[in-house]
Amino acid sequence: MNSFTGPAPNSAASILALSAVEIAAAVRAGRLAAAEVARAYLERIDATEPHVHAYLHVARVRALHEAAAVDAARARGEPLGPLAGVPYALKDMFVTAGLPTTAGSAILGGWIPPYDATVVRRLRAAGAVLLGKLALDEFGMGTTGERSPFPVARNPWAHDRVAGGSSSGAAAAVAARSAAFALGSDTGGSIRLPAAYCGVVGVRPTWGRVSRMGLVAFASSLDAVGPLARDAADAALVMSCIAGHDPEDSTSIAEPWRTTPSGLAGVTIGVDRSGDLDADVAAAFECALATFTAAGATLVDVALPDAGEALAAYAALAAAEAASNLARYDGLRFGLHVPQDSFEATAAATRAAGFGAEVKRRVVLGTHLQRAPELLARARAARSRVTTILAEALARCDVLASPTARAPAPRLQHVSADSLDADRFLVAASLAGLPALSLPCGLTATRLPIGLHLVGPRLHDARLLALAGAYEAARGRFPEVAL
Amino acid sequence: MDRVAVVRSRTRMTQDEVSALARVALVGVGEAEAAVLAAVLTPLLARIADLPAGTAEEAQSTRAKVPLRTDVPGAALPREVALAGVPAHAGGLVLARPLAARTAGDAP
Repeated sequence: MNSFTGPAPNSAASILALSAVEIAAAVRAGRLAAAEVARAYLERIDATEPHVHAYLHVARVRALHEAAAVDAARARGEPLGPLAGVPYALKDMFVTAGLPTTAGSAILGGWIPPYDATVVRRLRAAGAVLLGKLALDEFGMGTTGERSPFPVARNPWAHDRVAGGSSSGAAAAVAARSAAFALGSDTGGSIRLPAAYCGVVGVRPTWGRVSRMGLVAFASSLDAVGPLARDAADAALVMSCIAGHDPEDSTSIAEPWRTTPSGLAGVTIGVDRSGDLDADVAAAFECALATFTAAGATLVDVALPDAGEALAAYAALAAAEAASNLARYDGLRFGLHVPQDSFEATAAATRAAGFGAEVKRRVVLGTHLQRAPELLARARAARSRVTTILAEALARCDVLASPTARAPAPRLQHVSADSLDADRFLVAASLAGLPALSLPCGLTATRLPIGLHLVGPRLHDARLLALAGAYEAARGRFPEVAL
Repeated sequence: MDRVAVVRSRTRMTQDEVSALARVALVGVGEAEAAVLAAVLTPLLARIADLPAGTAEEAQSTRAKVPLRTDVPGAALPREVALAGVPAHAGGLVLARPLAARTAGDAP
């Protein structure tokens, strides 16, 4: 249901039970005050943070101020935005005026940006209320959320498990209901993998669909901004507010967002069943395919790009771009400053102290590859092949389906440095710049969420979300973490 | 060295090379960290070197050669036009002057 028409929610628990769509409808209709919603979520943060550690910074005063502004606008009879009073949080990769922004790195410790990212401005204009900044792997480089000097977000379904990375806090906060939705960034799977591990919806839009002005850059030809939400309808509502051209990001696409209703009857789903899967994941995936076919969709066999080739190409290209993007952290302009006798010595000392091991690994690899153009050429060629194979597969179907990961969330500190493999189903869409999302499709025997990964044609983001919504309707309500 | 040998030579990474690269990139690492990085990066570089040879342009299908950005007018420049006047390039990648000087010594 896309509009909340019931009685006014009269307790924090009943407010937390509402979706973002329902909160906005209730606030716009005057059945719920934005300040009341913000207080319920701030209390929820207080209750869950000792166990989940999703937040790096809670913007309590700012949240109450923004909520009061929404209520005041309504009292004045002004029109309210589509996300009026909806509390959300940001992966700490987005710059926020007056709030600390770390990108999960000690090198940005103490840095407070002087401006807001475009998506932050757009969400404020839509009436959303910012609760705070969320945990992540340093500069988005990781698949578990553990590669950071700051507290590590835990999986709300099992606190001894990772939330996934790199948008670990974003997925954990949405799953724990300490944010109605969150914004993350996805370079090789950083929205979709944590969404799968935490049982929420995570959307990587078509590359360029959402402005990246104010997103701390990791690998610019791959980075994309998208929502993590409780369901596809919430994610679609957020996308409708943040998508679109931004004159301050020349890579953003001037393509309006058009909501596209869709059922599953007559839809063709491309499936490549090769690959080794955990038994629970395999069963959940087959069950999801059965749900599609029962709702009228048709399955076709397709050949997807070789995961090993895609992962190797991704590792090379992302590292080469990261080495350039991270060159700006010189100990003078942002955050940490370790003074020495010269500029070069200051930069070296600051970067040695401020970057973690994973970041150094990728910068060293990227620096090496920048001096080895024959290796980079192979990676670029592999990227082209991956793009071609996906385009050919999508010519035969409406959407490609696979599991998001071949196993559920691993235990904390159980993933080796070479954690690339967790993204094996995800990096191909990243390399091709295609829209993709993960949504929950089952639970393991030990009640850990399992994700279903869908990939659509370029710029078909709205249709992909509509198909995800239709799948959710056919699947039935997915369990949530107990309050 | 032939091209395959050049590619292979780029995949072996010693502790000293990691330390040298870390100095270039201003991310100083200690001896133990350099050893760990060398051990991690060597197999990863081998995976990259195992990718089939070729260029991105050769790997594109006819379908993929359709411009991706419909909001950007005009066809892509032919490579020979795009690279005319570029002092040095390798496989379509433009080399900056210091990089070109370093690479010239071991290019095939």
